[in-house]
Amino acid sequence: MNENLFASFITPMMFGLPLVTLIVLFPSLLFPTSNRLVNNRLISLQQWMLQLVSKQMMSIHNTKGQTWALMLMSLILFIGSTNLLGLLPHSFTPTTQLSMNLGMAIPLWAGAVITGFRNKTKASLAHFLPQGTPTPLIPMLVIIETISLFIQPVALAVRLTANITAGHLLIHLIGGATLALMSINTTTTLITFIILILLTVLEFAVAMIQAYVFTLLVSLYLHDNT
Amino acid sequence: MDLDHASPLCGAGMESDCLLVRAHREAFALIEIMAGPEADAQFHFTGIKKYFNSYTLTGRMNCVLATYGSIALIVLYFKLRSKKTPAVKAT
Repeated sequence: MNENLFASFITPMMFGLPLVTLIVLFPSLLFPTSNRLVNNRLISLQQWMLQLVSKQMMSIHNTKGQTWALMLMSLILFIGSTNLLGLLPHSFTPTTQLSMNLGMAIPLWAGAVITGFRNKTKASLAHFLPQGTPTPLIPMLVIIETISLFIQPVALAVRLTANITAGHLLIHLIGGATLALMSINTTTTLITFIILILLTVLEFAVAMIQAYVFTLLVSLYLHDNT
Repeated sequence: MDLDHASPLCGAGMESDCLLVRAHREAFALIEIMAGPEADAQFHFTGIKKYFNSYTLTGRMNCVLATYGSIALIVLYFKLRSKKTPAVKAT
């Protein structure tokens, strides 16, 4: 177990140069592209998966919303692949950095909101007041709805950061505990190891679910504004 | 859809089912109201309520703008007041 529990969250450097850019760009190498009509199995599988996800996600949108299809598919692929690669031992996960997640959440949310204000100004402004609100509650509810709108990108970023960071920390802690218990009690070590295996399986699921949730929420914000 | 007779148990002393039917009716009415701008025509407000209400799209928009305007005026008032008030001199 590392003496510093948070060592794996420090942005990696090599000879004083930051490696973050390379790490962020690396997942794109894992998705091959092809200019052939009939592709090999790997690319066909990739295309099938992309088609499945994009059909499911973009079906609720109108024509305007569907122009964001490429953006949303890139987003889910990037976050999913980054999260899954981060489960490799001793690897760095960019999505544990709040700065990175805010950098994704704020522009996407702002783009959706600005699109809504440009195309449907009346409806976007009216959205701040729920229909049927009693008159005395109107000012308070407008303020509450405004705050909840501005909380959306922060919640989006913090949700992803917290989930991935917490999972990695737990794996780190339970892995360290397993190692420490090896010389003490074999039965307890075995139980802890089984818990570690189950936790790792859970983290695989969380990695993919968080990518889906992030993209789905951006898609919903877009749907509300188009 | 005739929700009043939706449940065969309505009027047969089964009050909980009548409540269920009423809840469905209210939900459908709510969905109807929230249909969008085309539903604004069903509301016939007069006077100031025509422009400031929480049912029509225009009414809701005006209420929101009025709230933001009031907040801006309050902030402006306190800013100008603090500029006008002279600094307290030490005696």
